Amino acid sequence: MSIIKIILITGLISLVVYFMSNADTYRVNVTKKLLGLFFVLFAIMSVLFPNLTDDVARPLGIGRGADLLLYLLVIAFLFTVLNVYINNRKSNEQITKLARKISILETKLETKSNNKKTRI
Amino acid sequence: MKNIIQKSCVIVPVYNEAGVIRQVIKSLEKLGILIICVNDGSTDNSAKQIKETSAILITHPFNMGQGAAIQTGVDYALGFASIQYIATFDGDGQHNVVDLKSLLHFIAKEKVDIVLGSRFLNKTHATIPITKKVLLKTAITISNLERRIKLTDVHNGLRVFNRRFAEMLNLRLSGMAHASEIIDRISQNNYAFAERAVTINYNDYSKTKGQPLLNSVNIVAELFLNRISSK
Repeated sequence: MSIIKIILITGLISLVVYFMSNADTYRVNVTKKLLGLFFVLFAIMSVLFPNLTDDVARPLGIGRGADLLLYLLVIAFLFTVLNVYINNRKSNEQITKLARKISILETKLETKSNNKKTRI
Repeated sequence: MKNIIQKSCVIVPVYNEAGVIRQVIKSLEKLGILIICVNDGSTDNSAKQIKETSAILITHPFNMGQGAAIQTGVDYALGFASIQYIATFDGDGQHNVVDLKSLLHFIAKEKVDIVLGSRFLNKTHATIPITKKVLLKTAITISNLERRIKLTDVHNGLRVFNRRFAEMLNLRLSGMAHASEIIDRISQNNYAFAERAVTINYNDYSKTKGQPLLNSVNIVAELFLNRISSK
């Protein structure tokens, strides 16, 4: 069991739990942005200095730098999907509350206008 | 009993039940109870049918699910200060008014926070279609394993709860998983609950309206994701 596997698995699980826990949305959002930035920087560096990735990958137990980049890409993708899902859920909850508010308002309006009609 | 009825209302979530909703509401009207019918974006003429009854009609602008419909009904009902007991009753004719009456009587007398109808408490489960029975029993077993609260029926639309329970309800799951969400609420907040035997009518019409087996995958998924992302 190489180091990278241990790091990846524990890191991933703890990050998923953290992101989905709504702990402190502001801090979570900042963390996400920083991780995204870090990933982009690493990708740029690996383009500028192709051997850099190899040097990072080898001590972690991975053959090539390109493989490391691939693993990181997979993780980044999964997190993107997770993020989209969470944001979707929040939006849906808001839409539901809004639709509910409108439905109830409509009913109250109709009841009022019906009462006015019967009074005349 | 009349005193209890005056403090109660029944929420009937409706989605495309134009064929039977009039009869369902008419049978409820005999009880003299306030009926709040939530039309969850029906595409047939359910709304028209409901308008010809004495029920209050609330219409969702689009279909959101039974859980959302019930929550809408609860929000509206809580606006009436005199309402102390809120019941939920299916709009497809599966439930009987006599059972509703007995649940209302029970909650007023025993002062629990919520009474849940159970089809497995009396002996009439011979009429349940086999596949549905197997699925339900599996759901019940899993639910009882996962939660402190042990029930005999975890997916019954006939229930009555008091104002206190209604005020904290806030259903987040809009689909069919709301039934499990209600159970979660009971166990998380230590509400007093009870189960009472009710009869479910399985006829050809309601069989087509029942939850498709595949939907149980959706329900489980909804619950799981809600669990790990709870506030």
